[in-house]
Order: sequence, then structure tokens, then C-alpha cells
Amino acid sequence: MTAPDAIVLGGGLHGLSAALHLARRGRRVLVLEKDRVGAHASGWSAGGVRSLGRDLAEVPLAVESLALWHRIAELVGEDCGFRATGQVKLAENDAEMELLAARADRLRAAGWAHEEPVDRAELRRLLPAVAPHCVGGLVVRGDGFATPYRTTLAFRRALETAGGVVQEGRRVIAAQRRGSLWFLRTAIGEPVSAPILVNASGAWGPRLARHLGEGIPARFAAPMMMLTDAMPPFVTPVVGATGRPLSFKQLENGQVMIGGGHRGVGDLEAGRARLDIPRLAYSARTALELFPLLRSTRIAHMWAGLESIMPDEIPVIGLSTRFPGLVHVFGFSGHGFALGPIVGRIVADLALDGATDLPIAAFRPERFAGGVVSTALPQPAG
Amino acid sequence: MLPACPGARGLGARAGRGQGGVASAIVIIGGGPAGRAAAEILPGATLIARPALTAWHAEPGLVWTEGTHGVEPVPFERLLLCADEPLLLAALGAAFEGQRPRVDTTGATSLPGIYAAGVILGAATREEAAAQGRIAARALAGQPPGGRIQIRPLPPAPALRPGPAALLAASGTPAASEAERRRLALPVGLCPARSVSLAALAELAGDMPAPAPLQEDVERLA
Repeated sequence: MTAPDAIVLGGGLHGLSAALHLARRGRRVLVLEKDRVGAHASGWSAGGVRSLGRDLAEVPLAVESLALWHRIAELVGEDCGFRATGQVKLAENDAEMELLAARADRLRAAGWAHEEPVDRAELRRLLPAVAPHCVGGLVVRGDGFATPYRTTLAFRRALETAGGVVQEGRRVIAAQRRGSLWFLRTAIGEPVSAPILVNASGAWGPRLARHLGEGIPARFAAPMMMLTDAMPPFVTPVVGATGRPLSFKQLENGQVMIGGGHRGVGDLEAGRARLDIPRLAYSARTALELFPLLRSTRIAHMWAGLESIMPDEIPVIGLSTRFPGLVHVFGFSGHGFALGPIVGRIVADLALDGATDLPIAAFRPERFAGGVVSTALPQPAG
Repeated sequence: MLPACPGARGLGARAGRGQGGVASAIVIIGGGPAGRAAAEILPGATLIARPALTAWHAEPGLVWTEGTHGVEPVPFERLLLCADEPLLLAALGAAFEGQRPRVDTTGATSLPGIYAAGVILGAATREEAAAQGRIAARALAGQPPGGRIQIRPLPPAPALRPGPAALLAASGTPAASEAERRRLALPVGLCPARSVSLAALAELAGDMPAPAPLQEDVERLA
């Protein structure tokens, strides 16, 4: 391609979404991916499309993104496996139900009515197989899930159709702003330059920020998941728990995906993660206690992806305060998949207009000087 | 010289916890010709063999098993894999060339103290597998190996896209056979090597564990 207008680092969903929106605004976009598209968080995500239980700062983005998911084919040409099954956060006792009801009240006070408390009877109507001790829940009926890798590939195809270029196996080893351009050197291939740089490098995003002298205090983790053998259909919505980590869904082929936040041990250099079997055992126990009919099934797959985690567990989305033409977008803390469609539009707005009409002040990269406050319910990864 | 081990155990013996906290120094996986031949060379080793005991996952220093007594970890200091379970080696981080683990002529993998022999290296006959088992067992015990293992290469593995979603799409689950699933999973190192009972795994859980600590990246860009 001729000299790009924008270089996006990271071939995951957020990088590709940003690149797609930049390309649709007429810019020549080059995506540099150090491994392969979808090789990390975007390929290993549980695929939850959830507005339920989010930090209040994320709610406007999650609601906006959910609207895009409901017409995702208009954006990328296919439905990405999105199913609006609803999501349910279970209460296992009265104290948890009070917590969920208070959350719904707080959300309504902030102007949002999409989270709906449900009692024991409605919970059983939604989840006939749920354990008898569950007393109710909180529901978003328009939430659901999609197929992560398929989604990532759909965004890539749409980007390439719009004229964008994706280069895999290109690890950036140096970045520097000189004059009006970013100059990047990669481990293989010729140096590249462009006026706009988007740091969508996922778990590796903080490393680039640090290289540029921007200390963004991210850590990383390896959330784990399990997938059972196929079972007869027994649950439609995605299910989370309130008092313990859980994300639970049954796919169309009958397999049940169980995740929610228990972590393995990641290795950024090797780009892989090691499982923590005792913690997976606790996930299995949680799932079994909530859905006793799992007793006869077997676990066919287990995995862990690499995720960047912020101290307040909400992402970094914003312009650099040190350099012009640099947008940071990483740190989705294990629940960024659902935000992918809208985040791309926001990044394009920031890169080209310097601002966006969505409220993103809470996500500014320089926010950590004043401490950390979270307004989310316990959130499952994926 | 072999280190002191718990008493010798037979094929498919239940192993793991309950050994007074003493790690089983040497573990052999596989009850076929290679594993049985190796066990004769290494009488103090723990032998994990199906159907009584299935090794379904491995991590440094531990083999996770499932048997009639449920899910249990079997500690090891040295490991000899004589079963066709490449995903166990992949989970440990061993290097592969195509579908085969990279080994030297004694069966030593890229990981210290971890060896492979027999069908996983392409042994074509029971006699060849047994010979490989003996060579690897001697090498693992620090003895002269008494021969060289000839690796039989497999055709190159098809390129596989990353992620479980790709794997599931490619394998067409749930209909795919266990062997097909493992073949497809190898390049991405998916776990477990064999499926495991959810209920048996759940039995292993105690109180809710504290969240694992977040990790810090201190590496440089270059």
C-alpha cells in the first residue's frame, strides 16, 4: 500500500474495529499484528455480549455497542454468531438479591433501565435447570453472546474490503514520533510511518506506552475457561453469579462454556498461559452447584487467554497526553469483547476529530494519579 | 542412580496424593510395550496406564489423572511418556516438529528430565516400541542408553487458526473423534489432553480460592 494514514498495532477485535472505522472514513490503514489475527484475547474470549453489571462508566458504551451487535451484519457483513439470548446474574441468597436490587436502583437513578430484577419464579422460567437454592437474579434481555474468532475474522474481512491492510508476524520493536509522523521499526520488514498510531496491543499495550514514556499502570492475567461435551439443550441465556466468579453459557452445538475470571499463569514472552487446575476445579464446582445436571458431563477443552487488566478494571481509551496522533485502547480487563464494535468508532473519532460524542472521560490514560474506584458488580471475564 | 521412590506400583495403579508428601521421582505414562519395558528398567517408578488411570493433563512437576477414585495430581521429578498423548507434552511446553515432539536419540525432549518413547515417536512395532522404552528409561536413569531411537516423521500438520473457536469449527465437535480432536489441538496446545469428568474435577475444589495475583510486565518493547 502507499504510505498509510494510520497504523494500528494489534490484530485483535479492538484493533481491527478501529482500523475498520478509520478505513470507512477514507483513511489508508495498516494493521501490524505481532502474531496472527485473533491469536490472543480475541481468539480465546468467551464471547459474552453483556451490558449487565458493568461499571457505570462503561454502561453508555456497552448499551451503544449492544445496539450495534443487534445489527452487526450491517457493519461487517455477517452476524458473527451473535445471539440475543439475554444474560442473567444469579442471586444465590437474599443478601445477593438485595445487592442486585440495589444495583438496579442505582442504574435507574443514573438514567438506565435495561437491568431488570427478577424473582424466583421468573428466574425458573428463564432457567428451568437452575439449582433450587437460587432466589432470583438480574436480567438484561437484549444481551447475548457471539463467536469471538468468527467475529474477529469478520472485522478483518470488512477492513480489507474497505482497503485496509493487515500484516501478521510483524512485531514492533521501536516507536518514535518525529515531526508529524510516527516511525515504527519491526522485527522483520521495512520500517513504516504514519501520522496516526493506535495502540490496541492488548496485554502488550502497556509495554508500548512505557516505551513512549507513558506509565499506564496495567497488569496482565490469564482468565481460564472450560468447554464441556455437547449436552441436550437446557439453558438459553448467558448466566453469571454474584457471589463467586462464573460465566456460563450453552452453545448452539450443545457444549457448555464455563468461565468467569479464575486465572491461570500468563507468559507474555511465549504468548501463552498455564492452567491452574485447582482454580478450574472451583469453577467446575460452582457450575455444578448451580446446574446439577452437569454431573454427568465431561470437560473437553480448557484454555486461558492473555488479557491486560487495569487497576479499576475499566479500559484505557483515549488520546495520549504526551504525543499528538496517538490513541491508546487496551486494558479491557477481561470483558472487552462486547465493546469491540463501538470502541472502533470511538478510536476513529479520537484519531481524526480529537474527540467523540460518547462519554469516555473515565477511560483517559492519565486517570490513575487520583486513585481507583469501581462501580461494577463482580464481572465475569469474557 | 535412581532416587528413592515409593514402592513399585503395577500397571494402572492408583497414584498421586497420599504418599506422605513424597514426590514420585519418576512417572511413566503408558501401559503399552514401551511403558512396560521402561517399568522393568525403572522398578520404583509410578506407572500411569489406562483404563484404570488416565493422564489427562500435565504441568511442570505434576501429572493430573482421573481414575475410579476421581481426579488426582501425581507429582514427578522425571517423566517418561510412552503413550500417544502429544498434548501432555505440549501442555508442559515441549518443543515439537510437526506432530512429533522434538527428541534426541535417547528420547529426551526439549524439557529437562522429560522423555518420550514408543508410539508417540512413531514406533511401528511392539518390539520397536519396547526397545525405545528401554533406551529412554536407561537414559532417564542416567545409565548408558544401549541404543538409539529412530524417529519416524509424520507428514506436516495442517496449519491451524488460533483459538478454541477455530478448533471447534475445524473439528466439527461434537462428532469429531478423540484422536482427531487431539491432532487438531496440538498446534495450539489446547488442554486437556483427554476429557475429564466435570463432577470429578469439582470434587477437587475446596473453599473459594483467593484471586490469583495479577502479573506485571517488566519487559521492553524490543
